[in-house]
Amino acid sequence: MKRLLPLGAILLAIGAGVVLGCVLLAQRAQAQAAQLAPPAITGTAQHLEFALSDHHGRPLRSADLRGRLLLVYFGFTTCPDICPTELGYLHRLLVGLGADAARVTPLFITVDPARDTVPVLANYVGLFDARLIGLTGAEDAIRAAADSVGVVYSRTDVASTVPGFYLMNHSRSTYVIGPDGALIQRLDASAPLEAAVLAIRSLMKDLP
Amino acid sequence: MIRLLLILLAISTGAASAELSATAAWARASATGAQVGGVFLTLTNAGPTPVQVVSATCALAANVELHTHQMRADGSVGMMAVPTITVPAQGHLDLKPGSFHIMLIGLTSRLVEGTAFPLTLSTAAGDAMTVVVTVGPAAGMTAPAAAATTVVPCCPH
Repeated sequence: MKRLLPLGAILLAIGAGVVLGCVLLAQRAQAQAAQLAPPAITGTAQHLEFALSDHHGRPLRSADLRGRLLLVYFGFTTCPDICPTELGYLHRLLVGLGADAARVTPLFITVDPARDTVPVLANYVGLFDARLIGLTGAEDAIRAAADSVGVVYSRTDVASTVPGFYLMNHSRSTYVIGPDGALIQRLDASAPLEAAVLAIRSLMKDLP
Repeated sequence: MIRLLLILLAISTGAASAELSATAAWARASATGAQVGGVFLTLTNAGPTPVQVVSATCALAANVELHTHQMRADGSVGMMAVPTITVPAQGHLDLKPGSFHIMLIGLTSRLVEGTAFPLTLSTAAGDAMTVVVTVGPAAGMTAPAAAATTVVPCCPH
């Protein structure tokens, strides 16, 4: 009996360990599920409004894209890390959507129109995805587009031997815009890609 | 052939301290006319004291800076130049997207996927190490396979 006691204790300990393990696994799964659902935008809906030029120099207005799901990134081409990271994520998101990607329109709106002219954008967007549409325009037209969905950006001068060189600080998310132009949610490259693919697919159900 | 020359160049450059080594050095392909590029790599310090990287030079860029990311109060994100990047003693530091990186400003040549170029890092102790940087896809997040296996020791005697 005395010998059995330690055995019983060991079995009990193993049992407790298994239970604890299951609880931890369940908690992890819960945490992952929470990550899988990016926070929806609540409150007064913001609507993306713009009148800009695409990277072929053709005018494009937000009204032209009503009825489509938009994935919109505000950035600039002289951006060494953040923009390529987010645009790379956008590219993988489109790949992840497979044939469904034809139902969304990916947009890259520059916050640096002084440097990001039509030809500069034309050279840039194709590096990330052939479907990506670059948009530029007058300074105030860009500011209006950004303001419509609460994107912030500002110029920041950096000490450099390259004359006049500067960078831009800007909101880093990809903005998901619904068929009515309303901002639905923001995606970030740090979120799991599968979650974003699922989120976009679920939004497609509401497409006209 | 160019790669081989670069590697030979790497081995023949530099001064003392064989403690620092670099692996998986890569950059993203740049657009025609692009002014900037970002270089990423893993720095490993086998020595007993931290090593500080204080500067970098590259023939393809007018200016090379050590950078990291900075979140601003308004929620926007920007880059910030840092004076040094410290590699911990008997540890490593990943320079990777979204974190520390080496920024090439004033590119004199387009960074073409599949090519490679040399970049020289200098430490606070006065050592220099030339690293072979492989150019990967513009949308890449990790080192291309060609770069992942390249180990460049610092400064052999």
